[in-house]
Amino acid sequence: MPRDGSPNPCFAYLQSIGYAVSYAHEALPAVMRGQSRLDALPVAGPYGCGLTACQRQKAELQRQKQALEQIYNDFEQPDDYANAGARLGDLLTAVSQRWYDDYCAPGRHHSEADRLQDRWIDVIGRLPQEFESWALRTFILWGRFILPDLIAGLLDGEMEYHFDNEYAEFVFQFDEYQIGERITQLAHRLRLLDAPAPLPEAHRPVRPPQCNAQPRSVPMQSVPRLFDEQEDWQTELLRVQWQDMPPDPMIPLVQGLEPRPCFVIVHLFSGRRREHDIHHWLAAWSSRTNIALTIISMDAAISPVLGNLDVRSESWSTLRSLYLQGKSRPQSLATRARRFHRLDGTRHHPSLRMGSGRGRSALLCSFLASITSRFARRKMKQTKTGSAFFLQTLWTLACHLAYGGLTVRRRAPRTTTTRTPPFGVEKRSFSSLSPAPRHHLA
Amino acid sequence: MALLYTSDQQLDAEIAYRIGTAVSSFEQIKRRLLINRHLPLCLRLQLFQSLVLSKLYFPMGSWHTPTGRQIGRLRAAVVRMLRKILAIGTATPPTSAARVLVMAEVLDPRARLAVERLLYAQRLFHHGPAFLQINLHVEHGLHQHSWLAGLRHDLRWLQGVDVQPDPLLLQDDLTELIDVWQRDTGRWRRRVRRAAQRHIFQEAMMLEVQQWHAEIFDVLRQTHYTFAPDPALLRMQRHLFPCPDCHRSFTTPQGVHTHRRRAHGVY
Repeated sequence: MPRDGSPNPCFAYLQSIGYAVSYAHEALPAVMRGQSRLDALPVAGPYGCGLTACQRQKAELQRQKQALEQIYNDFEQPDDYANAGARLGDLLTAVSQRWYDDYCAPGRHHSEADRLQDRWIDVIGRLPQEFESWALRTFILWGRFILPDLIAGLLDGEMEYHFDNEYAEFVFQFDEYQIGERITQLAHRLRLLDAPAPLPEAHRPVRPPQCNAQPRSVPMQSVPRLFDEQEDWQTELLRVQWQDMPPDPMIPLVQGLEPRPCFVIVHLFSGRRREHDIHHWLAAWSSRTNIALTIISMDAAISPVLGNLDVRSESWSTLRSLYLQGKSRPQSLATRARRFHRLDGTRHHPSLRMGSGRGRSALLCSFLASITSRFARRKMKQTKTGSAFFLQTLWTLACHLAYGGLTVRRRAPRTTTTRTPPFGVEKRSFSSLSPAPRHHLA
Repeated sequence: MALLYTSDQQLDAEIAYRIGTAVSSFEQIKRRLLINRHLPLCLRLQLFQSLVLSKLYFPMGSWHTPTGRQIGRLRAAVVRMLRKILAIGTATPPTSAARVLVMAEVLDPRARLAVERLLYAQRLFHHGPAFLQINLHVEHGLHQHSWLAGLRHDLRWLQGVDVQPDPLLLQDDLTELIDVWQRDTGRWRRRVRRAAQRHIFQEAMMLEVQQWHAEIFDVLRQTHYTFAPDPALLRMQRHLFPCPDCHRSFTTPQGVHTHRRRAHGVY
């Protein structure tokens, strides 16, 4: 399709001549089903791409070498080529020695008209024409093996250089020499290709990590997870002991809520309001004894907005500010916070058995990776919500310790549950640290 | 994968280039999309993941494991951008980097590296050329911190996060696992993605728990309760370092020094 959007002339022509092809279905291979398009791209190129580059290069080199060898080996030689070659070599040695003597006789001077190459040409040119190629190869071999001995016996540095130079200039003009050198180069490159590739090495030595390297300068191999590290964290937390405590604050009366000062009682996780519940009982008791009480029962069952105790809710934010201002003193806890505690398997973990004879947690937080790491996501969400309620309870208890007040746990009848209620955990958590704050718990 | 390979065989140049590319993309779309309050936060975070983090982490699967300092550079860049999206740049008390990542439901760079490398390993051993697979094993034999060594730690992470413990992930011989990868039709990808989501969720749980403990001890410390040892010095406990010249607090002593140098000219 042309880029300007005009009709495709090739397609129009094929249609005009009536060219038609059958339908061919194109799809991804079955092994790539389920992969994205990017993943389906084969990294090694299309399937069946043929020889590798190395193999192709090797084949090309062998072809060139064979062609050159065919040319190189196409020559005629005498029947007794060994003796003939030896005689030719002797002649070349003799004319070379004669030329040197002629050079020495007039006082080590040679003329440009009488070059050493001419003497060699005279010898080679006397041979029959059909043996010329053989004669040149013999001359090349003579220059490689006999001429160096001849040069060594000259005892004249200038002449040694001259002989070498004459030989090089003369030999370089022969096709036999060029072809032979080319064949040698090709054979060397083929040997390199046949040899196994050396292991890759850095072009400069790799600096090993220093033995005294800081943690941040070595590869960060392990993936840090707070979830894995929480056992260590809790072990450290267990080492914390009460050291110094200020005098216990009194339970103050809150001004301004009633015509006269009153106590504020917050009933957390109270559940749905019922007849003769604790709220009702406290209200009746206050009217009977003429003690001013302001009772706040909070639970999502009472009001999804005002009773919401979720950490991010507005009602909890307001309640939290009241706690931090020290206005909410007595507090009652229902058993809703034990939701987290219902998780099975806590008794199977050693750190949960510390300080508890009943196989329950003595920790401030009974939240352990080893028992929750394999939970499904839904159960982990429940755990998260339950642990948040549990820790909210502990936080309010800490507020009572700091600003005064009482925490009363409304204990469920034994018949309704066989599990240790959560407040036992809280009480143990604080009382195991010191006996002093125990009177805050009832 | 457009990876910058330098002669010192370190990832500093690559990381600097990636951070520059990602920050450039972030700056281009910041005002119109990412910090635009008229768009819902979840949508902005999705755009951030697909338009910015994808550029930052594009070739991450082929990286060998970076050093802690390099991971820190990546984390600082991501958190700096997330603070602008979440508009918590000037919040007091300062929010930690881990908290910011959890709030945005973004993986820590090291965990993201594990995810990317696990996905890349499956593609490599499924579709990759033979010479590359052989070279990886040769590198593993010659180098202590090879790509395969990092992959083994990533597999250990996956085994820890996954719902069902899989002994195949912890075997010294990767042959069976590679066979699984080569027969895979998409399950491995889903498995790694699920593990990443679980990792984020678990980290959020732990941060919340630690936050509650920090608040409990804060309440008690404010009313002069003292503990031995000081809970503020415990590992992973929130500990703020106040500036002696103003009301601001920082999570690290280095933060205090930097602030004093910039704001108060104290060197």
